[in-house]
Amino acid sequence: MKIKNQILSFIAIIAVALTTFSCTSDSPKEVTPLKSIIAIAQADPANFSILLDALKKTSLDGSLGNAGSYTVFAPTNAAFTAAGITSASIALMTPTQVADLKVTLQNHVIGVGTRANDLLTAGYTKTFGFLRSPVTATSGATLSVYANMVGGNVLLNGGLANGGAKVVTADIQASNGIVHVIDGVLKLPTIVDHIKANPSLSSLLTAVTSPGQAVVLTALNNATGPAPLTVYAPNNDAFAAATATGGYLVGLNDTQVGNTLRYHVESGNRVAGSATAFSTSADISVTTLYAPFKFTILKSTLKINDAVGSPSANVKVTNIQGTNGSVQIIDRLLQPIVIVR
Amino acid sequence: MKRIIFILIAFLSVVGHAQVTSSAMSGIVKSTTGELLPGASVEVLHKPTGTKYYSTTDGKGNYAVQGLRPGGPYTVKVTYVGYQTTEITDINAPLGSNLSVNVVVKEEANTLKEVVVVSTKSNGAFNKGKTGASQQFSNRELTAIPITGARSINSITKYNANAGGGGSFGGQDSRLNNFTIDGSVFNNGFGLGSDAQAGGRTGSTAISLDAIEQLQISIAPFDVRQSGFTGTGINGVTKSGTNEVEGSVYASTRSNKKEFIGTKAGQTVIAPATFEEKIYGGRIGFPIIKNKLFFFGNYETVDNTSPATTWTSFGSPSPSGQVSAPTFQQMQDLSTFMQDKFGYTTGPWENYDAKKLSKKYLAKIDWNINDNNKFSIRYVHHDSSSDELTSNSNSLGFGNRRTNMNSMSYKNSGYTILDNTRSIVVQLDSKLSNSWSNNFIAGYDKQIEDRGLQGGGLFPTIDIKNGQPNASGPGFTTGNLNFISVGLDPFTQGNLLSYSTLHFTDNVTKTIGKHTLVFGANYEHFESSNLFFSGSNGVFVFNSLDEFKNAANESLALNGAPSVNNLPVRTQFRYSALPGAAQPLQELKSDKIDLYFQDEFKVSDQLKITYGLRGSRVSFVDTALENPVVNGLTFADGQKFNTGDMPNTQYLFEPRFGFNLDVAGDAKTIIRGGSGIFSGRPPLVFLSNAIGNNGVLTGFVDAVDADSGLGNYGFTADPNKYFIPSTPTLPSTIDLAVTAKNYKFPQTWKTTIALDQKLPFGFTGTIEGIFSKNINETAYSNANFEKPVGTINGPDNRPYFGASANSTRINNNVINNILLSNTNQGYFYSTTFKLEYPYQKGLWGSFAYTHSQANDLLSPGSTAAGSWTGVRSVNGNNDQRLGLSNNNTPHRMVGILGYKITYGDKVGASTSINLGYIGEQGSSFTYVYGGDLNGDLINGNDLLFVPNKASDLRFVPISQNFGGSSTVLYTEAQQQEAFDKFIDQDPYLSTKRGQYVDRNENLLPMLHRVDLSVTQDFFLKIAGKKNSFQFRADILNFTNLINRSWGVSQRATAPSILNVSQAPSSSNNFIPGYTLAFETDNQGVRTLAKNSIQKNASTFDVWQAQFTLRYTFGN
Repeated sequence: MKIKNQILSFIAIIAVALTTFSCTSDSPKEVTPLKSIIAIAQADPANFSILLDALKKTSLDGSLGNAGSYTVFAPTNAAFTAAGITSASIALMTPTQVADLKVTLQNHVIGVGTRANDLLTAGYTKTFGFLRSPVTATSGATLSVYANMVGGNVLLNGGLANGGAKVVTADIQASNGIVHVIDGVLKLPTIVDHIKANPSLSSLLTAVTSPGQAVVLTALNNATGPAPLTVYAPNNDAFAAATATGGYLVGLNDTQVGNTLRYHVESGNRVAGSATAFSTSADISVTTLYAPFKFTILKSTLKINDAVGSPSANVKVTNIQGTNGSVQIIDRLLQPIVIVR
Repeated sequence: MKRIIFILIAFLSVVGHAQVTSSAMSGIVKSTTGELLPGASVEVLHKPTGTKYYSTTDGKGNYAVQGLRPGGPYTVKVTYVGYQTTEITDINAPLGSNLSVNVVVKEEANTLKEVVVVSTKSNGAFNKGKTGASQQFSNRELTAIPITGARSINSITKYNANAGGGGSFGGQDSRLNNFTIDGSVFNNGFGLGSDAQAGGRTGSTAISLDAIEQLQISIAPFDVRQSGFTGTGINGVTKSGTNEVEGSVYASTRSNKKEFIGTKAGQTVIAPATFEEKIYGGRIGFPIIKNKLFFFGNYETVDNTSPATTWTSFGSPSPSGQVSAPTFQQMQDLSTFMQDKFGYTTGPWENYDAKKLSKKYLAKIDWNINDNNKFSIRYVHHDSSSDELTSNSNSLGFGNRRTNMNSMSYKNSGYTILDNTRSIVVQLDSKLSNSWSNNFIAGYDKQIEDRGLQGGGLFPTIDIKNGQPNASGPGFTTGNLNFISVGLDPFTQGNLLSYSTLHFTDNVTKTIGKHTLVFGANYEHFESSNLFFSGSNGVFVFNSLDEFKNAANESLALNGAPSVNNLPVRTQFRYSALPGAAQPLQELKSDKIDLYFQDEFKVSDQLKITYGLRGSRVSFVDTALENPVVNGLTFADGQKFNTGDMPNTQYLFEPRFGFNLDVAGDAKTIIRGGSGIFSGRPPLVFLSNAIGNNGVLTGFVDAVDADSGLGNYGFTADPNKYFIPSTPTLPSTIDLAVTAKNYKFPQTWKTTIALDQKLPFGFTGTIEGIFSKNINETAYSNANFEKPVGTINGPDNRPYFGASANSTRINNNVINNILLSNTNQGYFYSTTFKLEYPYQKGLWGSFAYTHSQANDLLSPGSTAAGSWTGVRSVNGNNDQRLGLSNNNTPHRMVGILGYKITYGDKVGASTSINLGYIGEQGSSFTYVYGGDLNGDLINGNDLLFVPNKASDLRFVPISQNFGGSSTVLYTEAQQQEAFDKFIDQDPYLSTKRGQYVDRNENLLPMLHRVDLSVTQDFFLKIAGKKNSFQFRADILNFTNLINRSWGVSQRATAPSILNVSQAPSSSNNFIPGYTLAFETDNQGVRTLAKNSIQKNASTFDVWQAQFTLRYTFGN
């Protein structure tokens, strides 16, 4: 009996001790460590073996296995094959081809872990791809990728037809970022690709691709990394105003329209220094392709005053970077001269 | 038959004074009428061995016996003519105690000679009558406490209320403890590695817990015989053979399998790394001659195997999850190349094991020469080794050689650490006369901590980078990562350490009435020999595999001479600058002679006082070498140094006083305490540093590229043969460590006061306060550290030191001149509340809470330079402020609860359940800047300034790089916002806006851990002998098994919360640019730091079990 009592009291002591602990604890939700982006790809060779081979060939695989914060647009094997890239072709690549492949892959990665919805909100996001000047450069102004929703799908750079892609599976969470699976290999976007991709620049696109403006289009297409152009791109609202009754463009001939368009282009890759200004120190006088006409970007603002003293245009979206120059979206057409009608 | 019952009043108290290896007993013999009986004969019998000790009472009825074996049980028998022979049995004499056993004898009745025995057990936790702070661990506790693995002594001693993290006591560095076994020194006396005890460098112990009879922890004993520490004395005694043949064999095992280890640490599921550990051991004790000569022996082996590396090569036939860049073919080709060309065996590069082995033997003979002389001799032999991979350090070669995705190395590039102990001690206890006795101990303890090779032999270290043949022409591109390392680790050749202590102790005890006088002497000779000759095997860095092979082939074609055309990109070689290229050993020899005297005075039955004085003389043999260059230099405050100087001979004194007052004379309330000075030994590496860092031992070649003469230093497998310059040239820049001429061994002044109170229901309570003030504490300063050149700008405008070698140095050719000296700054206090339930009917336990605080100027490491650079300061590391110590443990709770039940008689079983609990708030941390803020060229030593608002500081955007192209990840504004939030959520930082932080003010939350051991015995008595089989389970962090959230530790997210990304300079007007530290959550997602602390998820945070089977013969 005595022994029994002692056992009971001993158990009681332990029980009291344990309940004291349990008061302070809650049963937690279990979390398991997330896989890294590279581990996610490795776990699905049927879809990502070519991507892995490409990353390895270009020595980019390490970063995606390390701690960090990346968004990766991951083309499937089918997408790579369609773009003419296979494991076999990767193995045979020359150093120049490897360098090209590397920039292409860098253009599939964003330096922040971003969900698809956030991509849509942002519209334009910078990738690690870059404008190459000279062609052998290993860094430069980083390229933009454009995301928008079309027919319930998230399209990148305007979708497959425009050298972009569609997000097939969004928001795969990794320890070091997010993976979005896409159905095409993103072509490195040019100025024109960027104009094509954005629906709010459709009027500009129509103007530039009209038969009478072939010279302007050729000039844009001929721009390269070492010889880039900057396009101050009036949006559809700007064109609507300019083509409405009494608008600047009404009644202009092809040459005059061409001159006006060239007034919106400058040589070189101009980049706004901050989100609120191109320059904080001085007004910038921009020499355009329609020489000798210039316009002025006011210091400490995103405002542009044209040569004839129209109300200032506002740069609505800055620094949309392509491989051969940048696009700055503006909300008014700029006027190089007063047209006497 | 008429039975006469004698009423005997046996008052028994254990009035302590602590002796290192034995116990003592004393008392008064009186008649029932209170008459003190002179000339009564007292026989004290140690029952297990039949060892007898005799005494006769003096004129006032006092008797005393010295030199008792600790433990028992003892029987005291008093015979006196005309009085009844009286026995008191079952007395337990804990190690280091002086039991007070008073005997009352009754006049002899004519009719009968019957003995009436009054038996009073003395093993209660109460009543020890000690003066200062100490604690005994009996054999019961030693076997009950849950413990796994190598079963280190720390696993036991951590249950002392005044223990702290990492084996520290009383807020002192754990290396300032003195750990002795049978009176011989088992410290990690040299002080390298983190463990304070012999065997610690290989994660083992020099002596098996199975061989230890008792342990005693004495933080502040006021007995002058105990010395050699400012932390605590830990004294153990080993078991001895007895008249009974007794033996035990056991096997323990644990591994990473799911029966042995948990996987759930809070929210996180962990995958424990592969390992397997097996322990086999046994002990035997028997009489060689009954009552006369006894043997005890113990053997134990611990064998721990785990994968050396979990990385495998690319294309490996048996790949693991972690694949490294070198291909299987490349690793194999290079291995074959080395074998064919140099006869060098590389060993495997993947899927091989690393072993930790420990084998220990102990043998002890006890000899009762006669009733007056008892002799014992004990020998301990321990060999242990731990396999280690080659170093990843880039202080030689290219570094990053192993266990990463870019680089692999071979097994034979690694090394083994040895930690071997040889210890012999003899002890002779003699009774010279009724009042004189003598105790003599002599011992020799040697530690060997050399490094050994894995196989393959000596070969230069070769780091091969991942360069490629150049497509555009001859030559190779420069690799920027280490790819394959082959050859020996660069820090292993000439890495030797051994040290020894030879010691003699003699105590003469004289009892005169109420006085017990002790006269003692101690001599200790310490010798250490340390060789750290890194890079003496030659270190080469090559751009690519092909470049290495070309150089190797060229050298072989030149019969082993250095290559001329095919050169490494870097060659490093350290050579002896001593005459005849002698090994540049750092030798330290010191002698310590102590003399002491003590009087233990029983003022009355209620009051006992001790007072004594110990004096020490410490001297050093002149083993340092003079550097004539240094003689010509002048350092801070006009100081001059001679590296050939050793510290002056020093005299240290330890006066001590202690008392024990039994308030009412009924042993219910005892007030005890005392005050005294304690001298310790510093980790002797502190002194050896100065002998090694004098700039005359070695020269060093560091050739980088062609411009620094690489042409003279081509590749060769034998740099010794070709490289030694005909006339050794000393390095032009030297790194110095010096010791102040008047440097003294550490001393603290400790004062304690305590109240022991017997409480209802068999409980006893203790309240104890300790205050300890440093007298000579270790101090480091840099005598070559230049004054600041200005201040930095911004809200934090601390002094600025110029950020260049010349601006921080007084003499530009001296990197550092670290001066070891003393300080009296620093103190410790603690208050302990303790409740004990002594063993009664199978149940026993104790619980204690301690509040304490430890303050010091710095917490030294093992190298002089590291100790100084480890200081954390605002105004530079020579301006040290008193702050909380690294060993500060403000709140600590310990508890042990045990229960044992036995059933059956001849055939039976017993079950015991034991719980060990520790709750502590230790592991403090300090917010500092990552990097170098003040231009003193020391990283991570600058205490953080907490801004009023984070936007007062300049932050540098954090960019992320991907293949050479980078984008901004966190802007300045994002970091400022995050830093403000971080400060606000931190309980300490939020109170320090606009101020500098202090050291160790941030604390991790209380961590509660409960460990469990359960044993189930089945026994069978054959011919009166017990044969038992035992199954034992030890489960550490047991509560984690019940709830996954319990017992999970936490860590500081980012003590280096701000990184100095842009150091102050003229280009930024001396306003530094910061980046905020990152935090990685338990899913692996990285963000800007937002929480001060995070939950850990390692094998330490889940339950771990070990299972043991044991067969025991005898008791």
